Amino acid sequence: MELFDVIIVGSGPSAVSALASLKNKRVLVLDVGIVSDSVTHSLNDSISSLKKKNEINFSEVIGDNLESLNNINHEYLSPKVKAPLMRYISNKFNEFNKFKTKNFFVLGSYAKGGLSNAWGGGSMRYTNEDLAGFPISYADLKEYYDLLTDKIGIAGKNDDLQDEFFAEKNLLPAPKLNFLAEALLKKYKKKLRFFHKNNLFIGFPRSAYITSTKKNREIYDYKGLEFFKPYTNSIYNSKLFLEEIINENANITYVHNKIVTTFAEKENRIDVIAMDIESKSNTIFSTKRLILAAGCLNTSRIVLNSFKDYETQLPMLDNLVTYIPFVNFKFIGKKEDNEFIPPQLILLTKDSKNKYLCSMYKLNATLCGDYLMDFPLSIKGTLSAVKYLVPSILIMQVFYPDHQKSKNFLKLTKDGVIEISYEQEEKRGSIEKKIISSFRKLGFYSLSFLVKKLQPGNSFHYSGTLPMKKTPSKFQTDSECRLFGTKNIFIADGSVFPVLPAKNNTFTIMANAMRIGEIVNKSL
Amino acid sequence: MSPASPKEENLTREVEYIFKNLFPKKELTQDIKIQYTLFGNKLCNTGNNVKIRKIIDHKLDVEAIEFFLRIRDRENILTQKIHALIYLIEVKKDFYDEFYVEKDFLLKGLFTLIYFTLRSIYKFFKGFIQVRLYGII
Ligand SMILES: Cc1cc2nc3c(=O)[nH]c(=O)nc-3n(C[C@H](O)[C@H](O)[C@H](O)COP(=O)(O)OP(=O)(O)OC[C@H]3O[C@@H](n4cnc5c(N)ncnc54)[C@H](O)[C@@H]3O)c2cc1C
Repeated sequence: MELFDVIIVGSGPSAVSALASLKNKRVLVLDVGIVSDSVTHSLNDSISSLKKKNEINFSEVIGDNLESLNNINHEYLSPKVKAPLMRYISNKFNEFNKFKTKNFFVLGSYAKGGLSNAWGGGSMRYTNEDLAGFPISYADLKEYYDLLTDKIGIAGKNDDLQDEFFAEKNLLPAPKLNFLAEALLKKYKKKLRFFHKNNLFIGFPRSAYITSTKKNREIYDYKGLEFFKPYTNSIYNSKLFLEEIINENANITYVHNKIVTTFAEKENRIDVIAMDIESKSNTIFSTKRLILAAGCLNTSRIVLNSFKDYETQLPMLDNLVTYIPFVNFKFIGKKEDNEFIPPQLILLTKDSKNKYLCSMYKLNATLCGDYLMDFPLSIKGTLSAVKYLVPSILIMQVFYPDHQKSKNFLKLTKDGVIEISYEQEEKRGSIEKKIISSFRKLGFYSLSFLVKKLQPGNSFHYSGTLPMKKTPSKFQTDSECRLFGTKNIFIADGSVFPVLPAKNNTFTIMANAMRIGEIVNKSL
Repeated sequence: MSPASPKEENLTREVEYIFKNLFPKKELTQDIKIQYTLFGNKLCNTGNNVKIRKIIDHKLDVEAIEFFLRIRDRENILTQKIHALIYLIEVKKDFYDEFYVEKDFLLKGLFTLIYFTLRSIYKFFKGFIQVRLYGII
């Protein structure tokens, strides 16, 4: 049997970042790896322009089985994964993965590229303050953040948020702003003293969007089609980077259609057992080092399954989310310029306990049906007012930080079901009140009763099940992300985060995965 | 073409009634009827908690009843069906003007918003009364 130097499980951002540090080794990437086989015909302009031109292809936008209407009578799905051509992202995941949970929203992916097929590209570095609780510091990650910034292309600006996101030389130009965000920023600059005094900082997000020429990549066209059309080349997707690495390195093998179920560490090798999703037959692959990067939920399943542990409750972290809608009355009835990226600006704020990251979005790219029923008006009222109201609306998504709590856990049952329990101890609402009252100074109005508190799980930042610790114990990892009690098994995804700051976590998952890849490389 | 089942006939009656109430000046096309029926057929498996038939038989104010029910329980079947209808019409060119403005209309926008906020309050109470009076849920 062939003995690989390294087996990496998964093809999401964590797996592909670990792989980037192992290009000179004989690596096998094992993945389920579902791809979209759809060829799009109509999707060559923004949805609103296509509607106007009467060029909407119903099958591609709503779907022959009404896929885009999924949210109405099924569980909530992000607009990014419910359009008919985007269904491949979550395809088969629930067929092979059973979950039991009362109040936690689960979304997973078996796609080649994992959830990066759907992500919003928000790519912020963690500061040392964010990394408090980790056994590593910013200095351990900096080199990898820099490499990633250069390689994948991060758009942004060194502005009022640079203490938080770091001043960087290699940023691509910040994306265009919509008139609403422009007005907000202008007003904010006039009221800087007030905002700084109250710990409120506004600036551009850091996004993995290509906004100026970069090798082999298209420049983002501001049409918002990433909600409907697979593989937008101008937004980072680990599938595209995986394919590039495989094309350039003959020593790297990619095998898909395999669900890794367990591993067994032997004297001088690790056996990895994987089930074929078509034939359901098992194959054993052997390796010197194993890197699990199947996303937090799947990596946890593989680990618990391998130790046949049906008792232990692993800690479960996720950023709680609330939405605040804001209206700027000056822009009611304004003709919309529909060409901008949905994440417009970021607000960073603190209270006595926590730091919160709040992304401000425009409602331009998705279908109107996705938000119309949220207006507190009768349906005729909504239909009459919406076209005037939407240009004046900014939606703010507030992320809450998370840390280990005994009531929030994940465990595996004997019949293969993952049980997730997540109780919302955190009382949400007071930070929103502070933001609402401060934003009045900018001409943006909201009311506390309009704040929407999403079910836990909706940030998709699942983390923390196998936390890295200075002195780890069972089902924890060390500062090199080696699983306790094993010699050569490493975890490279969000499972290793011991705490979850209120910030998009993927960029840090990627930087850490590159670091682990390098540690593994050096060990061979 | 196979004859419509009683359930499909009901769904067709339903969409005709709702559509006429919401868009009195627009034409309900055959494809919207078919798509609505498809949605209704899939959806009805989740159970029916609103007596939509009664709304039609008594020619009640579907807008008012839906608004009252939505505020009470967002997942009621009438809201789901109207929500589906919105998705189905918004991709039609005929309805483009319902969703987008082509020029700046600040005053008209403000006036519309104030008028429909007040009207929605009235509709809420009207919905409440009709739901109670006619045993809609
Ligand atoms: C709508 C949406 C928007 C988001 N926006 C952002 C954002 O703006 N910023 C941000 O930081 N994060 C964002 N995220 C989260 C981000 O997508 C995830 O954090 C990231 O994809 C995690 O990467 P991963 O490699 O750990 O796992 P995943 O992306 O989940 O990849 C898992 C991979 O493992 C494979 N796999 C799984 N199980 C097995 C198995 N048993 N055997 C073999 N292979 C397996 C899958 O095929 C897949 O390739 C968003 C997510 C969603 C859904």
